[in-house]
Amino acid sequence: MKRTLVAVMVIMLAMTVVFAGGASEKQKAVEKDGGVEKATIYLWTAWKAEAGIQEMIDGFNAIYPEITVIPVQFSNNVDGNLKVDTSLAMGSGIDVILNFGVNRVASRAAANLLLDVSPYIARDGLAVASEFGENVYTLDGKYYSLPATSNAYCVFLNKKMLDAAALKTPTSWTIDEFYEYARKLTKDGVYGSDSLRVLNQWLFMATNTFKENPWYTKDGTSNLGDEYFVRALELHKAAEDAGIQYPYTEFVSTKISTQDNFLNGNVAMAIYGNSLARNLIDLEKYPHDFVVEVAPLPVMQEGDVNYNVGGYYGYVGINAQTKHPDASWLLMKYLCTEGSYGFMKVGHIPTWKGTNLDNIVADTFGADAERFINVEQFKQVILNQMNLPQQIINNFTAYNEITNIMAEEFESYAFNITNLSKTIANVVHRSNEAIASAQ
Amino acid sequence: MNMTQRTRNTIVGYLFLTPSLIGYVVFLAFPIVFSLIISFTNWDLISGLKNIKFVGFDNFIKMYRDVNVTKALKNNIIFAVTTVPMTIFIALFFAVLLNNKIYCKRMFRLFYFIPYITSITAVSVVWLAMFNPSSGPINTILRSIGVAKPPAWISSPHTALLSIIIVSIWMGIGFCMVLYLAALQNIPVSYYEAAELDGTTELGKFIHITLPLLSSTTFMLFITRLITSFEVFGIISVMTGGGPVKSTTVLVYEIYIQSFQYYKFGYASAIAWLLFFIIFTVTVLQWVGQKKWVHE
Repeated sequence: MKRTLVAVMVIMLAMTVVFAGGASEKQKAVEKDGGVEKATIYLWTAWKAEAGIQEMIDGFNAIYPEITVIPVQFSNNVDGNLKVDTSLAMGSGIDVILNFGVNRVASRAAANLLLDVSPYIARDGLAVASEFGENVYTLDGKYYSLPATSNAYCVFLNKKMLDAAALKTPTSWTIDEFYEYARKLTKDGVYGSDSLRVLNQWLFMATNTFKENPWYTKDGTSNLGDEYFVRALELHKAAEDAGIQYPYTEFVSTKISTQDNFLNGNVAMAIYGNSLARNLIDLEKYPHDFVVEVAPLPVMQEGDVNYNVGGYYGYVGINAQTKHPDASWLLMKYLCTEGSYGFMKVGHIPTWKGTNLDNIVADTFGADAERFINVEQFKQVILNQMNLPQQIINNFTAYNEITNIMAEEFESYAFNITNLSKTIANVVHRSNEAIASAQ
Repeated sequence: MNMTQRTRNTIVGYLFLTPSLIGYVVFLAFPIVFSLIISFTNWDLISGLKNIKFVGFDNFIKMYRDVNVTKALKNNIIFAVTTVPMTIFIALFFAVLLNNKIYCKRMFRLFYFIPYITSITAVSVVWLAMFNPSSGPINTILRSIGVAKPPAWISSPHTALLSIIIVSIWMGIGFCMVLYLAALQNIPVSYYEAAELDGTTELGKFIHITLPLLSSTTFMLFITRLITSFEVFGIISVMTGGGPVKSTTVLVYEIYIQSFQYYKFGYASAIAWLLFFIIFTVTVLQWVGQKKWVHE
């Protein structure tokens, strides 16, 4: 018995020593080294490290070699974002995260999944408005993220086809003028235009004329019955029925992307995001022999202000439960400022005011940029977009549901199952129900 | 300590059971009870249990007004009443055929069974190509035999559900056929010999001997296939995403959207319990009904 007792005590003593050793190791790891703690942090983005993320990490490590950054890739879709949300809720696996779209930031901030970085911003004297612009998302006056990147929606035009039809790329236009172009550019086997595949984006030409929260009225109910939306939807369908726009019903079976349709020369104009530009020099994957011109999105009628439907897009934030908030902030700040240029590689536009946008043209298109794109238009419409009037979105009530309701009802309209008035009535009615149940 | 042998055996027995019991409680019993509880709440998973809000029967009432749930339920019923009998009927036909002396019997059995053991994703991708309205082999054949306007299959809201049904039947035949083949082997040859002496026709033998003696297999297949058909998800998720125009959405797909897209775990659980209730009722009805037609 005595021997057993001695043995147990020896084992316990040994364990204490081992654990104590472990603890002192750990303490050493977080010891400040020249003001910066040593830490390993996980950076979640939607791209592979070699797509440009590793270069950004290398740039960061040149300043902060003490911090090891491990890049993790997630897919920016339903399943990928579910993984992000559950990982954030569990408090593990993520330190710094790139959120896509203000609606993601808003829902994560509201669920206390993101760290309030206002104290860091105040400590470092970062003037958000002058560094990034007005209207950066806050919740109750606190910052939960900073917008590292933006995206832009515009109309891409095939110069060869424009020339053949004796048309010039406009610097501003209305929806009627746009469809008039589509009609003139339609030829045998070529549709005049092609639109986005996300169905609520069919309304972009109306959406971009609202200064704030286009989907909601002032009192918070659905604004989708507004005559601008009705007309945008009607003209969209009329263009498809007239055969001057690539029909959605055709896409359902071909699954061809707008980008492929445009670069294959199946359509003369494409409403698309700026990410199309980065693929232009990849002639192996997208062989094409025409120069691409860029026009801003049309508006509903002359005199309408074109509030950008793109704008801030990639919001960097920190997991509220991170073990290394200081190190995470250093990375977040770097990714949003000096480091944000690296996002250019993955097709995003850096929003930091200190960015030299001129370099983007050379880095995206190489020395022979004019062979691929009208550089002046690219700068004016895409790179300059954050200097144009910006739309404010801060109401996210039932946001994902309304997105799906629009998709379902518009699809029904595209397949002639419902007519225009019924479609709009359904969208408004169902959106209002979703808004009511979310409150 | 005086323990009887019996008590000791009981303790040892439970100790052996513990690992699987823990697994059962953690991964099955707890989630089932939990889903019943949250079906009476609004809960979004990510904001933690402290933000759970009890709403009584609201979620269940909401279902009756939800156009997507009613559409999904309708599609589920159409899917079940077509795929289950068709799969079983075709499987029986091939089983009887392949039970007789025909050439390459084993190869044919293998052919019919392969779809059942192939991954749903692989099957769906192949059928997606087959159903392609402009370049797919099905419509190419239809056009070559003179069909001017072949259907758009999964690309049209009118034929998408039919397309899914066709693939599901094709996938299910193998499993049912193997069970029927086993059951056919168990029918004593003497019954058929006796019938032959009485001068019964082939059809008569099938109706009066084969069918009744296969009835318990048929019953088992009806129950299992019906449950599987109500739980259909994978093939719809890969092939159509519930569309076009929600024409192929089913209850499990709506559960998926409500939970993982909208984070409405309370409402999604309520739909899941509706699904459970339907399957449970149908199964009970079948048990009651079996006395009339199933031979022990």
